[in-house]
Amino acid sequence: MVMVETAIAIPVLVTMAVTMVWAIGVVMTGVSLGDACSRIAREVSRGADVNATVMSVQADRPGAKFELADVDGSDVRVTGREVIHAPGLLRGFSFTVTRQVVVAREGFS
Amino acid sequence: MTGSVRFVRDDSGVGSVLMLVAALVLLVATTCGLALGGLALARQHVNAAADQAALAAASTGQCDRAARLAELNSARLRECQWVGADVTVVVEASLPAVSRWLAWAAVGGPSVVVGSARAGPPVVPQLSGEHPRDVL
Repeated sequence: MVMVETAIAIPVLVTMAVTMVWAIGVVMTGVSLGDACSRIAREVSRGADVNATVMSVQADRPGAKFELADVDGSDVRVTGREVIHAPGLLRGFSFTVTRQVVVAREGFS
Repeated sequence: MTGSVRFVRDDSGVGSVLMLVAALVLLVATTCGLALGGLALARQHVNAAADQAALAAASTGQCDRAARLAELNSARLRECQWVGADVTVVVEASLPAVSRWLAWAAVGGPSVVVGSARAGPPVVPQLSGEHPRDVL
């Protein structure tokens, strides 16, 4: 009987553990995506070329998409999105991590 | 009438109990992990907002700009203090509802995260050695 219960329990526990690790991965992705958005925003606010900056950051994060927008002519808004798929059998589930940073353009007062 | 107690080695149900205990441990670990992760995300967010607010204030000389940048970054300006040409800003942001609940459940955590940053004009180091590399 114990064997049967264990046979049922182990996959459930493994699934829970994998989900936990995935959730931590989502958080880590959120942190690094926020850093990437900040980096783009800072570079662009200093007058760097938008395409070159986005491409250099995207080279490190091929799955991420970045959108840039001008706010009132004085600020730059960068929105980063990255879809994280669940591992293994849960691959059908996905979660989109979104981070946004607004930076003031340098030299604007 | 005599009675006797007979112990029977029956291990059915043990697996279920072990599974429940293991699932509980995993659930607690997951909750703590998510709570700490949510706090880490919120902390990074509020620190980034503080950085942007401080830079905006330093470049314009106005705390209003710091407040505006903090607001655009989903945070609130709490303090904006000038010391000479340097400005120190303190901003705060509320945790999202889920993160707040997880933080409360896991660590009795805060509902508001605070970050600070300082910005000012660049300081040019005074080189005293014969060669720049002597002092760097």
